[in-house]
Amino acid sequence: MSDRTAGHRHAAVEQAAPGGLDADIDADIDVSRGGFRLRVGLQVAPGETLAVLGPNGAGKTTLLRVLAGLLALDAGHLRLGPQTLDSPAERVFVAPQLRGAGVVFQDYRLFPHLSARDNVAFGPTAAGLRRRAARAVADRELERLGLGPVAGHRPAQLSGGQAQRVALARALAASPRLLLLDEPLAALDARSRADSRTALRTALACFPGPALLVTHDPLEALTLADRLLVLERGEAVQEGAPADVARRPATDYVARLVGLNLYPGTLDGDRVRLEGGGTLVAAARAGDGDSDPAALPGGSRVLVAVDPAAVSVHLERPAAGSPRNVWPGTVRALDLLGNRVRVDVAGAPPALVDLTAPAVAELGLRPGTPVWLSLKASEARAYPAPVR
Amino acid sequence: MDRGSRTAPRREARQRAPWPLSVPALVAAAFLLLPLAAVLLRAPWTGLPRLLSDSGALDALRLSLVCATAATAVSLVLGVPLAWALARSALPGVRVLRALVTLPLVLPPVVGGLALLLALGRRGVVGRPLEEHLGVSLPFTTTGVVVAETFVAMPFLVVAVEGAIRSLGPGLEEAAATLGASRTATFRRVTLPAIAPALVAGAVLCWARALGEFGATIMFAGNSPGRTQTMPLAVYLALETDPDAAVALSLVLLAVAVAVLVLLRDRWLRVPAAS
Repeated sequence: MSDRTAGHRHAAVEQAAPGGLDADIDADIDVSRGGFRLRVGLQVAPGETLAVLGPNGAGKTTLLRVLAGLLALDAGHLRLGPQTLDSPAERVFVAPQLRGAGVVFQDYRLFPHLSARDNVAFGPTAAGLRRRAARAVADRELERLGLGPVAGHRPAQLSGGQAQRVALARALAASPRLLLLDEPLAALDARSRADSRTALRTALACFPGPALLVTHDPLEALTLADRLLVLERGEAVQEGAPADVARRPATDYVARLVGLNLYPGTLDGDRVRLEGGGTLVAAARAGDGDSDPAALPGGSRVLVAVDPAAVSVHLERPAAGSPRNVWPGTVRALDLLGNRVRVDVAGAPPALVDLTAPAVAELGLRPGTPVWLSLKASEARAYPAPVR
Repeated sequence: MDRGSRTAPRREARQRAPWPLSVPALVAAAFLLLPLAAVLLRAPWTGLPRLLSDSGALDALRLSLVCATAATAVSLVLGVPLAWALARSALPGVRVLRALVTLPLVLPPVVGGLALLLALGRRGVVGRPLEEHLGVSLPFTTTGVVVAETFVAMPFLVVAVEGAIRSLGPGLEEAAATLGASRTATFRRVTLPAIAPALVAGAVLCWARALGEFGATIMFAGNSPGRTQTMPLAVYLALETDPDAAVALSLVLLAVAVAVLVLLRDRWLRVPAAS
């Protein structure tokens, strides 16, 4: 019953208002499906790309379906510029075919019985263009994405990367007012992913309307988006510029994505008492915009982010020196990451530490080895915990 | 890549079937094929042209082809939208409706014919007002044959098409909607082409079932030569007067059945190539 497409509200808007490409998205979304509830506010400016990042089941695809009109809101509103697309309170619901939302689905959803050219020409034809004119639009769009040679191919004959770009061309050829991309690169292997990412970046840069990119790949989000919105369990947990989110993760999930240790705790003088046990001396580094923890009132809830490469490992307790954080631990696991070894150390607090392979060999680390960890106070960045 | 490792598993896989399986399998195959062979063996091959050019046989054949084709056409026009509604509607009661609609598949056709009489007969629930107000009478007419055949055969089409639409999923239709296509355009340009193989297979099955329809037809439309006497009825009747003619007519129906099977096998029932 939650997948109601709001037939009774449908009649309220017969025709999509012409609202130009400079319309922004303004949404206050509240929708339930089964036992899951998505509750999130959203603003996307014209020409801006918002990446929606989150683990599986966070509600990313549900959010995209709401914007596309494939799922109706239970409460709240969705506006594109001056036009209301969905508002249960005002009894307005604009059907998907009248929204002008270009969607690139995760599984592409190319029409199997049509050639790549006719897939791309589908939108222009639906808009009333004659077959020949629609095909001309399609050819231009395909050419732009380097797909000219496969224009006559059926989807089954296309490679994954080609199919992905045909899906992108098809969405763009319909002259959408907003662009919605659902994990556009998830199904590709590494090589075609790089090609398609380039095509995607170009397309997003040229697209004048608001764009939304749903992904669980932080690299995709960081390289393609102007702004990040992190969803977890149907709620927004962090929002901001990619660099800010990467530097000051608000949750464990985000910290893991950007490869940082994250410790929630309470400020006590120049120390932070960590929730999981242990204390850390943290300091803000000059010039990177972090507020000095000393400036925060004592007892504030803060987060401390630590780069795994900033932690040092010793077999003996290091002599007193510049590092102000020293604590014992036990190696739990070792993992090869590219040319580095990620060492998982249990302790108070536990930490992921990045070492070079020679360093691991020299220290003779293996699961169970007792070690000492040290960390400069300047490498432990404390910032206020987001209020939720 | 060496030859030995590639051929060895294949030889191993070709085991002989155990006799508790192979013997019944052979009996079953013989049981299904023997009667058909008997028709071929006993067919009056020399008298065939005379028997089939007999005007009664030709009339029955023509009537059968016309009625089966008309019934298929009606089934397509009404059945495809019904299949779409059954596959896509989220309304409560659709599941019950789906079961009821396919009831004619398992219902004895004679019962179907009786039911049609009670509904559309001269004193039927709908038949009486139909005749009183519009002067339309269906039973014991050629139209009645089409009605009876449609009743029995349409579920074959509905089941095939509904399954295809359901397994197609809403994904392509959603994609078409986001590209600006109306619901009608989406159905015409996306849904129909995507289910074309199932549509053709369903239509052929529907046509074949209509062509062979006996029970409902004889109950609802009777057995009047030239008007309602289709091939199956002619076979049944000829058996009492001219057994050779009955075999000759059966031979024609058998040929049609084989043709349908070949058509379905070659074009639409092939195992889809891995995509």
